[in-house]
Amino acid sequence: MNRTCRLILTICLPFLLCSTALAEHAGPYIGAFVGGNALMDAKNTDKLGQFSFSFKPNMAGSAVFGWEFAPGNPVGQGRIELEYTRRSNQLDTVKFVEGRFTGDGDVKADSLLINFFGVYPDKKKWAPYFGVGFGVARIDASNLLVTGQPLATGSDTVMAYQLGVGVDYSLMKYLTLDLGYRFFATVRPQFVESNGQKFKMDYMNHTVIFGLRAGF
Amino acid sequence: MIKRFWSGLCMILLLSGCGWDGTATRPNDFTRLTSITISAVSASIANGTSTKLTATGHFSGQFSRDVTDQVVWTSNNEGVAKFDYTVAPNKNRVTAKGVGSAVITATLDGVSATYSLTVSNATINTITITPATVSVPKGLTTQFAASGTFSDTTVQDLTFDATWGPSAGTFATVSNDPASKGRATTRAIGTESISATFGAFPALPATPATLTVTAAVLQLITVTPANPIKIGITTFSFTATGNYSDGTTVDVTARANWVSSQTSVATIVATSGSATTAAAGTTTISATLDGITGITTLTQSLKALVLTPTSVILTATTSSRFKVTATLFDNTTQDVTALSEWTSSAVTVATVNNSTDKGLVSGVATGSATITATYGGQPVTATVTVQ
Repeated sequence: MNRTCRLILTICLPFLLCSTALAEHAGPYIGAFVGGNALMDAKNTDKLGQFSFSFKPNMAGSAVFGWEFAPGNPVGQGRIELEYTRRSNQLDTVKFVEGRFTGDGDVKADSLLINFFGVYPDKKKWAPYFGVGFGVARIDASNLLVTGQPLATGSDTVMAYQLGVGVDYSLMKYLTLDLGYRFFATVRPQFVESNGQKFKMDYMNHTVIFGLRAGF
Repeated sequence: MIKRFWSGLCMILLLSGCGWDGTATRPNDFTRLTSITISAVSASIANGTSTKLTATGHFSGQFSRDVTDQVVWTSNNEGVAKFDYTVAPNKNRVTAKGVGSAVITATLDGVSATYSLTVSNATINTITITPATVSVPKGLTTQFAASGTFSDTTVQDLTFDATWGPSAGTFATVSNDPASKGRATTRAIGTESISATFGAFPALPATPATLTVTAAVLQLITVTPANPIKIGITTFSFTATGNYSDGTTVDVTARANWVSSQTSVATIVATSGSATTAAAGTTTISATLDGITGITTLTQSLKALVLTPTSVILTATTSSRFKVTATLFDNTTQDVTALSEWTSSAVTVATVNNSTDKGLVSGVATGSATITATYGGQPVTATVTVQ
């Protein structure tokens, strides 16, 4: 058995030993998530007009630290958390008046959000949730190229927000599986083209994540 | 709660959409220009004539774009071919100066292309103007073209190279300006003979063309008043003013055909522009003549607007409060005092508050003043006498 298979078994085996339970944890928790993200086609605007970027989907990773409210509290069932997420996408094509051209380079987003999630506290294993998050994001455009020629580079820190839905699956009292979808967007970041012109770019992202939250 | 969950999911999906799918308007100036192609109508032109060259840029095999106005044009033998103009629209026009050959170069961003141009010693045989006859309304322009047949049987466009006339005709003039060669501008109704000559002394004349200037044509109708707002059942008149191609304006009210799109809101007499309002709403009023239509909107918003009291007597130390009441078409009333704009015709006699306490009129000095309150574009007035 190779090393990867042993690693996967080591991670997954404990799940088989878990008995499902109703989510009763209240208090602090931490979590880690991985997933995939698709950065939507972005409209860019500079003094010469509009052009667009298309990106390739890629991985995303998150870490959270939050507080889960106890069932029956006056605020309602849910949680509030601080989330850090890293998203990275490779530039695939750039569309100008003349047509679509091959692109290269990466756009990375490091975001720090405060999320508010409401949970549907049905007495079942699965508990759906939805919520919103607000914060900031640093968008980094690393050496963007078009047809092999420099297009833009730079970074910008902008306000960010997200809408999220998902389901919790309570493994144990203090351990929850979380499968979620996030629509993440920012105020248009601004970068500098290779010719010195500035342009603004849309940033809107679909992310699907899967992870664990552990209370303590 | 579960409904909220699905509502939230649907909202996210609707909000997210699929990304921008619009039309790009920015040109690609990042991809490197790798080559240029020069083209012309002909690689050989007769001495004394000119021709325009076109430069097409090829960008790394990805796309091509016309770069005629961006390249720098040069000739290696200006005694044969020379670029006499440095700005558009003739920046790319090369003029034959002498018999022989010249190499034309177009350069942009360090990329160059060459084109061999030959100037022949062919002489002009005939020159023809087109169109031979044309009618143009007074005030408008038309473009003539000249074509020359040479001794070597070649045919060249001589519109730019010919000398046009008349430059100061009674009925029309023809431009010899490099930016508008051969363009005729009409001046008065009548018939003008258009001439074009080419070549050194003696210049060869073309058979003159005939330009007939006809009466000016209607180009625009303006309806006034523009977008009026009326109150109550009222009859008033619209005016249609026609703008003609020779710059003149004519009152065409009685000649236009008038139509109200919503006769339930207002009717209009087709031949006079007299409109009568009927009910609340907005209608489009159009006046059409000779295929030209002018439009405006007429809005009927209120049944009545009343200012009370209609007159008041004050002293220099007293005040009186005025009120504006609007009656809607359902006969409900509304106090619009605070929503109206207030003015006094004589602030040295009486002032009216138009800010924090609208409608409060105060006496200042002996005399009379008219207090006006305007709501929805409609004014109502009252009289103030200060004793």
